[in-house]
Amino acid sequence: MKTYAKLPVYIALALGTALASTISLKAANAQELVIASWGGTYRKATQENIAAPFEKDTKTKTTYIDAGGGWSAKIQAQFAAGQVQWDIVDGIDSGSAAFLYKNNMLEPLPESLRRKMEAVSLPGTVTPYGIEQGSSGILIVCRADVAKCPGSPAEFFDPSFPGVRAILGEAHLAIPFAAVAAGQDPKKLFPVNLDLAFKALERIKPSVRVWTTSGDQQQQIMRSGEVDMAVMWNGRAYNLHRNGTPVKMQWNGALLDPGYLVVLKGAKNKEAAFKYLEYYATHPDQQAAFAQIIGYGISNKEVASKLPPDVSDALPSSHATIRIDETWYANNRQEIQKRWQEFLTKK
Amino acid sequence: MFKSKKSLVELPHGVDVPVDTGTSIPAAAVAGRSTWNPKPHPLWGALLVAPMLILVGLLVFYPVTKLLGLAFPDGMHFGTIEDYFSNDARLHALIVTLRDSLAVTVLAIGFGYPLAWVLRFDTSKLLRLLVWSSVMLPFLMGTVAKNYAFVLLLARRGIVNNFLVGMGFTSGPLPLLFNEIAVVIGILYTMLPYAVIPLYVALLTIDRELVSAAKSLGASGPRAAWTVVVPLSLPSTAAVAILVFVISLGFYVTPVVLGGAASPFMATLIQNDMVQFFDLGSAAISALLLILVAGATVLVSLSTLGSDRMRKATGRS
Repeated sequence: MKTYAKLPVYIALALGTALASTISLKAANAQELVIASWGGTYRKATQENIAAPFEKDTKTKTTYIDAGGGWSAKIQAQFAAGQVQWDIVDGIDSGSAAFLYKNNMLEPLPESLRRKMEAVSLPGTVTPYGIEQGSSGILIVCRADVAKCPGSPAEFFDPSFPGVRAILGEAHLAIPFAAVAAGQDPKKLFPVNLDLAFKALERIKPSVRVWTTSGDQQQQIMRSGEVDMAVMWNGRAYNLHRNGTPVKMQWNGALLDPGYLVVLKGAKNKEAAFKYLEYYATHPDQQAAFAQIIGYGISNKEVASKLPPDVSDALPSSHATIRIDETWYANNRQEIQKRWQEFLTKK
Repeated sequence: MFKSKKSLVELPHGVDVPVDTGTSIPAAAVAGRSTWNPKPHPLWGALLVAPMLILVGLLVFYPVTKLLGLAFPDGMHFGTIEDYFSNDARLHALIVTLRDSLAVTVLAIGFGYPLAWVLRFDTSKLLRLLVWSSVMLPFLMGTVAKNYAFVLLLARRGIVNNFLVGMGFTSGPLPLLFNEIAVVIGILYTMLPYAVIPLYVALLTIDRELVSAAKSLGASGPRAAWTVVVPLSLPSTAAVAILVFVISLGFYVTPVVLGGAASPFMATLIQNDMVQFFDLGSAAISALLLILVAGATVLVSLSTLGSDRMRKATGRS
């Protein structure tokens, strides 16, 4: 018995050493540019078409983290823990970006970089904290083979127009879309007239079979014919089109929900991160290769002309769209959230 | 049956005679063994328990304290709770979560008990094999695969609707998907093994001879089952019901995939509050409410059933 008395101490020592070694291992990788991404096809599209040539050109190593959305919550948690682990977020949604910038968690772009990027980009795609990548169009998509397709948001929101519908279950997208359908001037869409929007939503609710909870669900209900038409993301519609589901996209009245490349405040590789943004902005061929795979909007002026017509038509950057003002949502989220959740769950 | 080395058998003429029952261990063998004691030395005991205590501290107490801080940033106010429930959707989600979990619990016991019964008492090997495989199958399937299987089954142009319409049972497809019925079916499928396996174990502990005894005293088969086996398995059944209910409360994927946005569970609400609305305070209150409901369920059941019967049901004597 006596010989084993010190065993607990040895075990504790061994465990302590093991723990310490993992900590030092983590610190060793600090020079790599860490890019947080949505994962899946999205990550592959940027990693192969933008990050890989960037690595070759600049001799900077990049590492991808498949974080998969929920940006605002995850980044806030990193700041709360005092451990900012990412340099760049690849395609952060506009709502999260505006919220994080407001709360001082995103690095403002240097003036010179901003000017350089603005010179080659589509108007409005460069903001004080980032440049558009992975921007999403919100539009009416319709199974032309089985249903009559609405020609405008107003028709989609007209209960007398036949067809089973789906609308994306996200307040900051569905509400402005409904307001456009109800006749609010697209040029003065923000702040959204909530009463007007909710009246339109209430009216169409009986014809809405699904309030989609994910992009994957949007695809699945369109593919299986669960619904005839949907207000959904263009990238998902493009994916359906590429895989042979006969969908028609109606860009009339479509909204644009911008995605951004942003640099986190206090990023360990801030300079390299800014270089990555500049590389992305100034390389239209790489952007075109990315868009061809995933079908999301990009920033460079020349991209549309470098793509085949059916691809180009599926991109929000090739159409006149109504840009969502993310600050509207960031500043009014409490009221919007309450009304939206009550609307959805009301019988 | 007899644990003692020698038992006394009463002879008809009233004389007690010791009888060897054949289960005795020679005294020499007992004496030859070292005096191994299953009770660990206090130091070892503490060391063995320490990792779990540390984990419970780190993964339960610390986060719950943090949650409290998040939920009530300016101290415990009734106002915070009032604010929380001023959004009707929150109460709705709580009701849906409780209602659907209760439905799942009732159905899981309703389907699980007969299945466990077959596994315990049926003599057909083939039938038992079939029941075992169908009960274990959901255990082996991934969450996503399971839920999408139900999407395919219940869709507007899915297998079930095609069958119903094709056979002329209904004139058009029924709305089977994206409602609470779909959610209950989906969770039930996942939870069934959690009900069947412990119920089977509970029935295993009941001596078959008791049924024979009841029958020999004149009870019919169903009566023997109802008056002997069912009461004996009642505490275990209650324990299983609590298990199923408490686990069902926390479901996230199934309500999202099969239920749609209009009837969210609390877990869906937490996700939306965190990711869509950046409202960590409300998410924290929702999480605490769930913990509270689960804890209250366990406590109330313990106090009504009596801890003694629960201890028996969970196998500790």
